[in-house]
Amino acid sequence: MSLIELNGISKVYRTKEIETTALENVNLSVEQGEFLSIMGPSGCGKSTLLNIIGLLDKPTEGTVRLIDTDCNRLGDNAMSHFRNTNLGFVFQSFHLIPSLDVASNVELPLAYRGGMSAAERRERVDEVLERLGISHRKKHFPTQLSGGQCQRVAIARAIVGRPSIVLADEPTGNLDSKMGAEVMSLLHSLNADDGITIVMVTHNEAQAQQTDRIVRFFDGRVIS
Amino acid sequence: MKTKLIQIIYDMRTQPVIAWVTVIGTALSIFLIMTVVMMQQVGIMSFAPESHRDRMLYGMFLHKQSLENENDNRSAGLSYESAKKLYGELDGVEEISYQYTDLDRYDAKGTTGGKFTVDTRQTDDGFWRVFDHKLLDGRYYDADEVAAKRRVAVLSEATARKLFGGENAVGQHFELDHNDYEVIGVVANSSILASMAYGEVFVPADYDKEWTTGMGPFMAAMLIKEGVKFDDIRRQVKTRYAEYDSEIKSEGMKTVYHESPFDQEVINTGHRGSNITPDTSSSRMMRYIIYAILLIVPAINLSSMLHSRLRRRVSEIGVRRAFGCTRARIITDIVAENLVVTVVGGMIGFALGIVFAQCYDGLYTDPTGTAARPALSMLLNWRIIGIAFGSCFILNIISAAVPAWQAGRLNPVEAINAK
Repeated sequence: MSLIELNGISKVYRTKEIETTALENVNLSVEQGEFLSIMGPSGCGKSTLLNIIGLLDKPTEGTVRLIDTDCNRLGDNAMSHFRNTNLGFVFQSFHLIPSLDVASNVELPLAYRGGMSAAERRERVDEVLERLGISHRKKHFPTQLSGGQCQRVAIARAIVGRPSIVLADEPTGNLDSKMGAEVMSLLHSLNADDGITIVMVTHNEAQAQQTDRIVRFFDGRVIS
Repeated sequence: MKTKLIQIIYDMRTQPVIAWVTVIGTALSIFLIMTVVMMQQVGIMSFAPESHRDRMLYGMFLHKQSLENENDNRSAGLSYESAKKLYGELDGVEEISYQYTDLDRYDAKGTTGGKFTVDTRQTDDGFWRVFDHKLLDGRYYDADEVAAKRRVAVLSEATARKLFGGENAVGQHFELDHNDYEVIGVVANSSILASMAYGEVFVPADYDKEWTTGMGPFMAAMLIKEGVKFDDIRRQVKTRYAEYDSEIKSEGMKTVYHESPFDQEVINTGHRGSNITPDTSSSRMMRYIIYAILLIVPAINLSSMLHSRLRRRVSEIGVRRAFGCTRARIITDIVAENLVVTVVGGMIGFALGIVFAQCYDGLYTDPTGTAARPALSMLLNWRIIGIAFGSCFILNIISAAVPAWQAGRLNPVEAINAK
């Protein structure tokens, strides 16, 4: 059974004047533990697809099944809960919350999860920061970190809730090649060691080649 | 909570103008509300010597009308006799005092030699049981002394000092309105805002004083037993009015009933129309409209401030949604953060209100229009504090509701990608 299963996904953006098709009849399956890259030119629908997989957006047509759950049937609260427990997000621009220090940023998904004491949350955060080699920065704020460190914190935030799937939208897009390579290495280790399924949107052919599979998009369709 | 406080401090540091305008706007709003509330509350809440305002009723006036000509009306205060007939020995009344409605301002002269004017209240002995004056020395006058029209007086502490300097006042004599009086007691000073119990000199009332049949300078101040409804007392009084009608029928007159006796809310309106039925509902409505304006106008401004603050946090809201924050949690978090800011502003506004009340005596007046400053102890009570912070809460809800709801409705994708 696939961990991610998309059938006949279409996404059409409508305004009064214009109708834009972002995705057209996309079918995609991702197996558990797979590291998948999505490639394609800008505006081809890669990020839209990632948002649909991440339950941040709804398809106009088609079904989304994640971890054996029919996500089309989930209400807003249930979707929030599903995202919280099963999904992790890594964004190109990191999207760390500037008012919070590193530890609080990483703790964010756990703060929305019931049943964990503050001590348990702190312990989990420390564990993840240690693993990603940024525990010495836990009291720092995002503005005090380098781009690579910010992305490490973002990855720590994505995995602190022990999700089955991590969705990474151009995770190295804002980093230099050295930092980019470090982040990629980190994602590979999460995939290999923890069995986390990773779906990554990227423009970087070399990084995509390092993943298990590449899905190429053009004009909202899967072309290979 | 710690995270929310960090967020608020961060907001204040990154958007200082908006943050401080929000705090100051809230403070001014709460200050205005507090001023209006305190003006109102000082008039109705209990404080010594009017320690049971919630159980007080006052029978103050008599309105008579000709049986043949309804344009022939006579209305004034009560005589001692008519006060007793209409209000004496009613079921449910714990204590009653027959006293002059108005204070008399007489000249007084003691051993210090100087002559000065004192607010003199003429009462019976029941006055000391109805009201809660604190006896510092000596004793109160009793029923026999009132009946015998003895020239004895109880002085306020300040008046005793003015009349006799540092000497013990009890047992001494002084001149009041050219008559010699003996001081038999000294009570703590009372605020002029305790309009029915305040006085500088208290002397036995002259029961015989009557202006015309049934009318005179008296009123009946009644302390109602706990649990007894005011309407039960009014029903009995209405029956008494009917009985009194039969007495004055021979004069060709009847009484006109004006929902007497009055409660503290009526007294606080400064109602002095002896031939008018007091209308508390319109003054209450006016008060509520003022409260609403004082809350809604700043709330609209604060709402747009919060909207501006949140515009910079749209992306953050999207990220929070991505990591599992529900719409409801977004809304409650924003309302809670705003509440902290509102409470801080409210505390400043509350403090300003108290300081203003202590410094400016033109704001608070007793029903006769005399300016007074309420004591700090009158203003710092749970009711006023509760109203202040209740207002903060309402202000917060009104100002935060729309921006928070809009934030909760944000599309996560659009929010994350917002610049």
